[in-house]
Amino acid sequence: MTEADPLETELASMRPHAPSSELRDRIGDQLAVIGRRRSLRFRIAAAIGGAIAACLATAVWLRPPQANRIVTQAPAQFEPVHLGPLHNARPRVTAFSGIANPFDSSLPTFWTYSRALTGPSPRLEELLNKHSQTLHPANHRGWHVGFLMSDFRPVNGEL
Amino acid sequence: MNRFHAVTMGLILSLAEPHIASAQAPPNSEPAGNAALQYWQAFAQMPTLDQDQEKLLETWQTVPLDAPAIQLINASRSSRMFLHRAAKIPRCDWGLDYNDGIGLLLPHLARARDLARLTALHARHEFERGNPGAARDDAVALMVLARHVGHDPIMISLLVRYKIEETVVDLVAPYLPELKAPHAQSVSIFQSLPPAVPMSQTILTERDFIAVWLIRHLREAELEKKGAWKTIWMQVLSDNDIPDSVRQIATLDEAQKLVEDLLPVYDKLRTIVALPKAEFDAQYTEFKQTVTAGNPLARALLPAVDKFLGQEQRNQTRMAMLLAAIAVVQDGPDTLKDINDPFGSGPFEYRALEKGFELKSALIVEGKPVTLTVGHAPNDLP
Repeated sequence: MTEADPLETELASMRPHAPSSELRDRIGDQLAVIGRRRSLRFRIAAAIGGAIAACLATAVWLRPPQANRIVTQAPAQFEPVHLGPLHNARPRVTAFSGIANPFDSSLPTFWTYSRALTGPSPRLEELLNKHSQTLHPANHRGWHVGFLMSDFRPVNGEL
Repeated sequence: MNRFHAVTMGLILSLAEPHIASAQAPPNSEPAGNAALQYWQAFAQMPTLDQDQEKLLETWQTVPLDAPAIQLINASRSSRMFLHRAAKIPRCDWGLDYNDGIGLLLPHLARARDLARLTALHARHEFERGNPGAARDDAVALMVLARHVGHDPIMISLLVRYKIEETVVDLVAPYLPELKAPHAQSVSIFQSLPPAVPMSQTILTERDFIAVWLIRHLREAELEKKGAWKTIWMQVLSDNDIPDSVRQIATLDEAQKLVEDLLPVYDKLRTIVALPKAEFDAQYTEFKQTVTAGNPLARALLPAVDKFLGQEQRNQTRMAMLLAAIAVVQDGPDTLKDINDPFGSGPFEYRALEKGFELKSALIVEGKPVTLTVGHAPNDLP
């Protein structure tokens, strides 16, 4: 066993003094200021974030409905043709793919009616009668649109 | 961060709330929306016609109102319900995609014409059984349908509009004395109809749908397959009266040039069509001769606007006559002094008949003056 060092013993017996009330108040005040600053920053950030979110939400809500749907384009907005040299043209689609065959007179296309009106004897009434019969859901056999056949008739027993 | 999210969501929800509330409001609280959606429901509810019924509908004006006619009227009740709903909605968008060019499908035209006839048959039945109020409502709904059909600046759409408007005139004129419609109210209803597109506006559509579309597709076909343009060219020029020199053009460049040369012709045609009748008549014949002599393609592609303008003018005149006739029924023939013939230099000519009267315009279409007979059923005209 080693004999206890007097210095060690004295040091071990020392106890820290309790902080004075003045020191305690000062520290308390400083902590309160820091807390207020943090709270203020949080509130500013929240307000800015909220305002941005509100702006975004307003923009989404107030956007005109036309922007979201397929719009019927007026003829004035019809995509103008570029009459440049042939090699500048870009192939887009096979002729008549994606649209109804304009030269199929059984279809009520612009061309079918247009021909009926420019012919020697106008056949408008005749064409309307013909299309009226073929367009009725009970008689409609679907339209060939490009290379696809659309046919919405239910088969017997369906529905 | 949780507080931040809460604040943001709160703001968003507070903005969303009114919209959610409006989405839950009854859809019929105001006449908004698209009338075409109602019309398509009317078309879907229209009865399937057998041959006898087709004939009956064609002669809706004179056919006896017996059991088969009543059966057809009853079968079209749901369609009429949707027609009347559509008539309350000013906007009508048939959903046409103009980029389809000459392949644009117009399935609503034939169906609208049939719906008009079915409704006219019903209205005539209502007149006959002494219920002019219901018949008048049908007539007004048909006028709105006509304007909605003619909403797109497409010539065929306008021609179908004229047909429906003519159906209304044919329907109302025989029963006008019984209808006793106040003239001021009738004029007000007429003026509140959706706006009418004039024939001149359709010329640009013709140009874009036919000439511009053709140039583009000839080139695209050629890019996909050498010589494929010729197939489209021959299909477009399938009419008999096209000169062989045009059909047998050898190169795409020649074909393209012929079509391109027509583009300014369409613009000039539009200007001429918009002229007053006397000026149009003075200029059109020479214009047509010059154009067809200068470009053999003109005969095949340009619309016969003189014919269609005649129909437009006849239609305008008959509608003006109907309103004038309402004034005559209300205030007597002297009131005609204050109503001008739109294509004459004074009032309509008046002639008393046994049961009613006849109005005659100075306008001549296809060699005949435009007239309106009031108070006589078509079966008992003198």
